Amino acid sequence: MAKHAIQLSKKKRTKYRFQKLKMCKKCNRYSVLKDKACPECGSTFMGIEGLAHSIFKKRLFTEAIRILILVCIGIIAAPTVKALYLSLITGMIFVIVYIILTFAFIKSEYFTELKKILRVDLRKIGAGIQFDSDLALEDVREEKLAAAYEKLREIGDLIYSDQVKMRRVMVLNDIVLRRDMELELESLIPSSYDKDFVKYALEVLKINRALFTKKCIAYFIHYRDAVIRDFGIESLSAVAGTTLRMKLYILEFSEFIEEFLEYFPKDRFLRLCNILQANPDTDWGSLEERAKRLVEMKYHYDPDFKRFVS
Amino acid sequence: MYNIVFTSILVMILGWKTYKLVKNKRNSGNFDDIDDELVIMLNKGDSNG
Repeated sequence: MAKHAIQLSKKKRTKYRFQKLKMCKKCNRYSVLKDKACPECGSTFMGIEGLAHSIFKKRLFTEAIRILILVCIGIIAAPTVKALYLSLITGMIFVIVYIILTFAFIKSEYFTELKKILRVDLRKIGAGIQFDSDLALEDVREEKLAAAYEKLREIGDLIYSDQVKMRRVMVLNDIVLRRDMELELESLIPSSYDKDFVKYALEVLKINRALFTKKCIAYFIHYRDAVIRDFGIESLSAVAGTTLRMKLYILEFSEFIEEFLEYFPKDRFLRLCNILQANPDTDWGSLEERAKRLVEMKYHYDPDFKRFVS
Repeated sequence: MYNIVFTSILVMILGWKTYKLVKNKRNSGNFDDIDDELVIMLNKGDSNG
């Protein structure tokens, strides 16, 4: 199947993940998608923080009404005029202290309200995200891949299940990947071997090596047999080549690199030799020795390697 | 007598309110905690998607 060339919009960034949540007050349904209006009823979504603010304000208002009623009853029920004045003064002092207290703790109270909403509505939030996921699936069926991926990307910020990761990877494997896209790799690593993920990761390797992190390299090493079976030894050699990006990675995966030394193209091997030579005090283990031997055997007459030949 | 009872009720309400506010402040944590808690709870059981 031919891959689709699509344009992905920028990801919605929030300081905290819960800030992605919003609610349709009419349908009483949560969503994490970028849509401004509810796809079911068309009414505008309200952000979780806005919702917490509105509930908090309502609570304060109800409290204020109750306090005022109590103070008023206290004043009205006073048996004598003197008692009435005293009740009035006491009531006023009470209201002032109550207001000061409320304002002094307003931040933590709002915080508590927000926490309460998230805890109480957890099931609703889960159901809302499930609905969002179904919408994404519908988009996949209708081949609206950009919309589907954008939806799954938002869901993936809150849900780390393999199912969501696999769906995202499947969509990504159907589109033409470009460097300017906000691609992710580490966040898509599944808990077990997934051929589609490996296919996607190898594609990413071609366009943006920087996305290949320690966790991703470790995944390839862990499932190396399956990777070689499905994608050949060259794919694993390419991953080993990526580890040469950082000195730390070379140290961490020196044994893995050692296995593929002979498969490295000249430029990658030259890079490794440069790093090894630039850090003579680092303990590279047997990697240094193997690299030296390879230089002597394979690149002995190459002028680029002349300085590594002792 | 009436004023003593009335004032006592108001003082009790203030005391209770202060206790609740202080308790909430102590348990409030920070936004990072809320964020992590939500994600952990949503991913419990791995049933979404």
